[in-house]
Amino acid sequence: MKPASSPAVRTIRRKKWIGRNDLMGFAFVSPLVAGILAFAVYPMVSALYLSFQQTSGASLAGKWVGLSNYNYVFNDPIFWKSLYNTFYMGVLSVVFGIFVSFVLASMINSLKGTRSKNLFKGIYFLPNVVSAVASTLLFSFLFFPTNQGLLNFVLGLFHIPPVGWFTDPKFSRISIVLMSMWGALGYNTIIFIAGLQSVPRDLYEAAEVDGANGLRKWRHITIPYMRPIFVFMIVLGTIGSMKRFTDVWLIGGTAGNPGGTLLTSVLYIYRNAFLAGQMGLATAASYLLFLVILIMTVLMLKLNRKKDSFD
Amino acid sequence: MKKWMLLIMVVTTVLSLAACSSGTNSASDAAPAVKKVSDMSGTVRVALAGWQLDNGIDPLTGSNSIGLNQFLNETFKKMYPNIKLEISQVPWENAKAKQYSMLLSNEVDVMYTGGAYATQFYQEGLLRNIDDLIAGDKTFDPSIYLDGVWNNSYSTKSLDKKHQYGIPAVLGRRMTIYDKKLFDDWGVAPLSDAATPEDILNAALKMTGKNPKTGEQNYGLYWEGNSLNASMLVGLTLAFGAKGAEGSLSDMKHVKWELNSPEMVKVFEWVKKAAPLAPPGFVNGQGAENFGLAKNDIAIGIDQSGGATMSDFQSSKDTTLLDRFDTAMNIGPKGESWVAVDPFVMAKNAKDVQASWEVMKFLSGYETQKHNYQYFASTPTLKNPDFILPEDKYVKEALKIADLGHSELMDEANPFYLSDIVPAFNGFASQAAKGNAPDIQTYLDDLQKRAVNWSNNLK
Repeated sequence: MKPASSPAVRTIRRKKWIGRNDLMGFAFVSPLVAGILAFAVYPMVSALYLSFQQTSGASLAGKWVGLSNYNYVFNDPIFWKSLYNTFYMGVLSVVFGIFVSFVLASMINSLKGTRSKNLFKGIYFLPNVVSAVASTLLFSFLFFPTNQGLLNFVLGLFHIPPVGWFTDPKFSRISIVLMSMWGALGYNTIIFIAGLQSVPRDLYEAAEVDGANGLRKWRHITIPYMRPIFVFMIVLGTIGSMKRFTDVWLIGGTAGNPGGTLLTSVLYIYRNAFLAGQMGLATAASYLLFLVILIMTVLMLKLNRKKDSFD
Repeated sequence: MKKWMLLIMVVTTVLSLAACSSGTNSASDAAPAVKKVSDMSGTVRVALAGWQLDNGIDPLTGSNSIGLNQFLNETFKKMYPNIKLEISQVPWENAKAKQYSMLLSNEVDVMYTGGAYATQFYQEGLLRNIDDLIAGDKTFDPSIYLDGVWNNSYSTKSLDKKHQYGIPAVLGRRMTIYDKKLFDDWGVAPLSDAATPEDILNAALKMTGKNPKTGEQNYGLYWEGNSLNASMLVGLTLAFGAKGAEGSLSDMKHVKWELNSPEMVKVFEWVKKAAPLAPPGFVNGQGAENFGLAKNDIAIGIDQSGGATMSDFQSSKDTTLLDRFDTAMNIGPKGESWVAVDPFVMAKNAKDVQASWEVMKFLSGYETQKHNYQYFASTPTLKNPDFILPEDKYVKEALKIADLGHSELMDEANPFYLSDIVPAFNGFASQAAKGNAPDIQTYLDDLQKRAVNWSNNLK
């Protein structure tokens, strides 16, 4: 039974609540909180307000139009097409990217010497330091649609006709997936290696005693133990891939060439904001994209929690 | 052994330094004779879209170029020693968005930007009229600029033509250029000076395939298929009489769209036939890396500048390529098309107006235009650009095309043109290149519907 607190106890509690240390703490965090309020919360609220306005050009002062911008975007087939493209490239990038980097991380982690481990970590991390612009330019030459491109030159050696990597709507999105996998490989691999090193050794030793081979240990110990890291990578990867802009913009321009296959949601937002000067419309599209990302993230986290309780 | 290694290292270092040092274009060669003009003081923040600030090397020809910083040190800073310049460089790819932000946050006083961007900035009240500055400055002479550009360009004048807000600094250079050697190889008659889109298509059809003399793959024509402003579309709409829209840029709510007219269908039919004749990379702006140079494999280039050929000539003094790559105006009815005029403008809230005015005048004036032509092949906006090389037929052609220039609703000053029409055009061309062009009338009906919805959403 909960004892009734006397006034003296309440005073002590109040004193504790606003103790000197607490005040000091608040004072120390206040610059950060002010920064967050000014540079994260205020722009978000301001953008939400803007999404209900009809604006012209860069001017942020417009007239209140209620849900009209949302209605326009919602009924715009190009917005849905852009969302489909974003999903298509995003899901494939995340799924294949995580699979390949996990396999690589497992292989690197199983190496005996520290030097060889560090060498491979360095090699695979290298693309991570290359900017999106530089890697896009690099891949534009690598994926050049005639035999002058390296990849098509190699295919030519096997008498395979040149592939329009970035120029053929059938291949363009897959080519972007390959490029983004290359870019994200290093970061993903390093995170996985860190996770792999945290798996308790005694679990492996117990499994060895039971006669488990390397593959079974990987399947039944490593993968289940790494699940929180998989969730982290999937959530982060999904959010990142839903914001794809720089590479598709540099390759396909505002059209998302070829044939609009590289038109992503952020490119759609950019077109409306900075080319058409419709800031209200663009922020409405941004909020719709934000909702989609939020729903996906919540779903992924929920699914992971269910699995936890089942375990 | 160690001495030998040291010797090798010293020799290598000396050779490297010698190789890296400037050749003929020393600083003193480039510097015009200047003297102090004024003691005026102040700080001016300048944002330049696409300018090269540092000295560099032309990637195609290897010739040296002197960047803006050195040029200003040798000129403006001697003329106005007390005016401090804070210069930021903005890449063209994202210039509009970045310069918008700079204007909104009062981070800039003077700007060089795209002509259509300037129009939109002015329409939105972000730029300052300069009528009072011109009237109060006897040293400024507007008559040095091309009359048509000074009087008629919406890039420098308000839409009602009552106010001046910009000074023209660089003229767009877009023309049809064709390779006479490939025409000879294929036995095709050269293009006339004002070749129509049909002439171009007919010639290009004959020259796509294996070159009968060299056996190499040739492409009939090229344009940049992911262009941000699809300037070729402007020429095509003029050529086929497709207005696209009627009304005024100052009242986009009431623009009457005509994007699915029979004339516009003809434009897209032309593109449907032309796209398969271009190198496959054109949909991503690739494939014309050698156009204007000896290794070229494209017969006709639309909206070209001749820059590569002129760079080659300036470094080698060999006129072979100049003779080989000839011009044929542009593809509008009289050889015209959209002529970009990129101006210097002043921000509405410029901190120090007088100092900004001096900077703006200088950067759009004779000496700077001469410098930009000499090192960056920029086309001047001056009536008497006496620094143009006699061999430079491309600038002369560009000035002829500029004389015919006129403003249309179907160009990048129109926000829906940039945000939706250009992507629709580029997207169509990329599908046509693969032989999968959508039904033209349905495609344009859809675009028309989008345009009407877009305007309605503004009301």
